[in-house]
Amino acid sequence: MWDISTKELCFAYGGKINILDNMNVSIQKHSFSAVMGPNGCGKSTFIRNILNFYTPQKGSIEIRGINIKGMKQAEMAKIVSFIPQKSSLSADLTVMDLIMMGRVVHIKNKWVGFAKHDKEIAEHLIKKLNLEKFADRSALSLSGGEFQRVLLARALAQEPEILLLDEPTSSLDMKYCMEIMAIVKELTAKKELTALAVLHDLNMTAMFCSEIFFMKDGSVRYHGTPQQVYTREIIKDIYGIDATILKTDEDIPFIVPKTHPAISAKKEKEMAYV
Amino acid sequence: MRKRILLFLIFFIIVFLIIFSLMNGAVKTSLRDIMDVLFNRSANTPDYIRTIIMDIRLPRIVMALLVGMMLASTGTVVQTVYQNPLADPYIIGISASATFGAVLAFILKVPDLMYGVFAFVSCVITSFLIFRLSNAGKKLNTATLLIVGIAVSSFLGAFTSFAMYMIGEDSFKIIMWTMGYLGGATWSKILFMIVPLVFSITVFLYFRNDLDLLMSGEEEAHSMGVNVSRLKKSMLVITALVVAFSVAFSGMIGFVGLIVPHTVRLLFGCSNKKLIPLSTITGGLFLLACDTISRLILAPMEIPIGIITSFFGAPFFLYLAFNKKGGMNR
Repeated sequence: MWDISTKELCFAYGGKINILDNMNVSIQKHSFSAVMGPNGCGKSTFIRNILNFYTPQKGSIEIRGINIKGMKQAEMAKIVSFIPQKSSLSADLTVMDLIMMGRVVHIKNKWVGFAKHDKEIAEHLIKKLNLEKFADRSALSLSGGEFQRVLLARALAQEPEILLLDEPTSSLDMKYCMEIMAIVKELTAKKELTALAVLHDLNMTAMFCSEIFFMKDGSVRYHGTPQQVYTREIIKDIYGIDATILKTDEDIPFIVPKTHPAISAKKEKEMAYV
Repeated sequence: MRKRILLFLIFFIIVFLIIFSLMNGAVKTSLRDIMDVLFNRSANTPDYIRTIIMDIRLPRIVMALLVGMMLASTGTVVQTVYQNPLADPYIIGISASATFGAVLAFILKVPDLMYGVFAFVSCVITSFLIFRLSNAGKKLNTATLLIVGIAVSSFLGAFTSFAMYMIGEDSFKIIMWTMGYLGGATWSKILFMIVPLVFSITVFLYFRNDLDLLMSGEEEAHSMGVNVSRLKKSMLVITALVVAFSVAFSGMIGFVGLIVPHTVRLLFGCSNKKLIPLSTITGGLFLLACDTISRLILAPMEIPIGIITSFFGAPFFLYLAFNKKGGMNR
C-alpha cells in the first residue's frame, strides 16, 4: 500500500518556471525513503507540496489514497508532521512548551486547552528521546543536535502516520546525525510511521533509507534501493562528478568522489563495488 | 513562587494606584471621602467631592486601565503575528490610521460614538495594506517593519496635519488625538469600550495555543494544523477594532504595546496562555501610572499622556532594537 503518491505533479512559484515538472512518486507504507539531488532541483518544494503548504498547478497528491486538495490543515496535521532543517522559532519557550505545540492539533476543547493525556504524551517523548534534563530549559539555549531532537519530539507528539523531514541533519555533527537517522529508522522498522526525508549525505542515506528518489530539474530521474541507484553513471548524471562506489561489510554502498586523495587507483580497484 | 509574588505585586500596585489617583489632583480628597462616595456611606460628603470622584477621576482611572489593557494585549498579538517584538500598533502605523479615521469623522461632524467606527474602518484598510506590504504577514524583519511604519504614519499623518492646518484654532480635539488624552473619559465611553476589549481578549485567549504555534514560523505552524493566513487576518481585524476604539476615545498613545508585552515576556515567559492575560493587566497598570504622572507632575496643568508614554517608550524601543536578549528574536 502507498502512503504518499503523487501523479504528474507540477509546481511553479508565481506560475512561471516549473520547479516541479511531472513528479510521479509513490512512497511505501512504513518505509524510510529519501529524496536526493543537487541544490535547487526542487526537493524542498516537493516536500512543501506534500505538506499542502504550496498548491500544485497540475497533478495530484494522495495521502493514504485520499487527495489532499481541500483537506483541512488540522486533519492533515493529525496524519503528517514535519521537521524543518532549521526551526523559525522566534520566542524563548521551554523545551516542554515546544513539544506541547505538537499536541495543539489534538486539543478537543480550545477553551480548556491541553488535557492530562497531552502532557503524558509529551513527557513520554521527553523520556524516549533522552530530553529529561532539558525539559524546563529554554529551547533557544540548546545546541543544534539537541534542538533537532526536540523538533523530532514535537513532530512525534502530533502522533503522525507520516513524517516529512527537510534536511533534518544538515547542520549536525556525525553523532547527532546518526542519532536522528537511527530514531527515525527505528520508528519505521517498528511500523509506527512512514518517513520521507530530503537528504544530502549520500553515505548516511545508504545506511538508513530503503528507497532513494534522485531528482534533477524538477522531476525524479532514478529511484530504487541504494544498491540499485548508487552507480557511477547515476551519480555522474545527477551530481556531475566522477565517484567510486565502495561497499561496507554489510553490503551498504558508499560513495567517494574520484578526486579523493586517500583513494589510490590500486585501492580503488580492490574496493570497487560497481 | 517568584511569579506568584510578582502577580500579587501587580494587583497590589493597581489597587494602590487607583486609590492614590482618586486622592490626588488639583483638589485633594481624603481616603475617607473616597470610601464614603464609593460605598455611599455618608450623605455629608460635599457634592463637588462626589462629582470629582465619581464623574471625573474614577471614569478617567477606568479609562486608563481599559486603554492600557487594549494597547498591551493588541501589542502582544501583533508581535506574534509579525514575529517581531518591535511590532507595536503605534510603530507600524495602525494607530496613525485610527487617528486619520477619527479626524475624518470629526471633519464630517458625525456623533462622538461614531468616531470608533470611522477609526475601525480606516484601521482595517491600513492593517491589510501593511499585511500586504510586509510580504503577506510573513516574519517581518525590523528594517521592513520600520520602513512600513514610517511610510504609513507619515502618509496618514500628512492628512491629519492638513486637517489641523485647515481647521485652525479649533483643532484642539485633533491635537488631543495625536498626543493622547484621557481627560474626556465618561461612563458612556467606558461602556462603549468594554465591548471590543472583552471580545478581543476572549478571542485572543481562545486562540492562545494557535498563536503560540505562529511563533515557530508560518511553515511549522501550518504543519501543526494552523490555517495561518486565516488566523493572521482574523487577529489583525480584531487588533484593528481594538486600536480603533482606543484611539477614537483616547488618542494616539504610543509604546504601551511595546514596553508591556516585552517586560511581561522577560518576567513570565513567552507562552500566550500567560502572556495575553498578564500583558493585559500590566498594560492597565502601566497606563494608569502614566496617566497619574501626567496629571500630577505639573498640576494643576496636565501633560498629554502620549508624551509620557513616548518619554519612557522611545528609549525602551532603542534598547530593544539594539539588544538581542530577551523574549523574542528578530
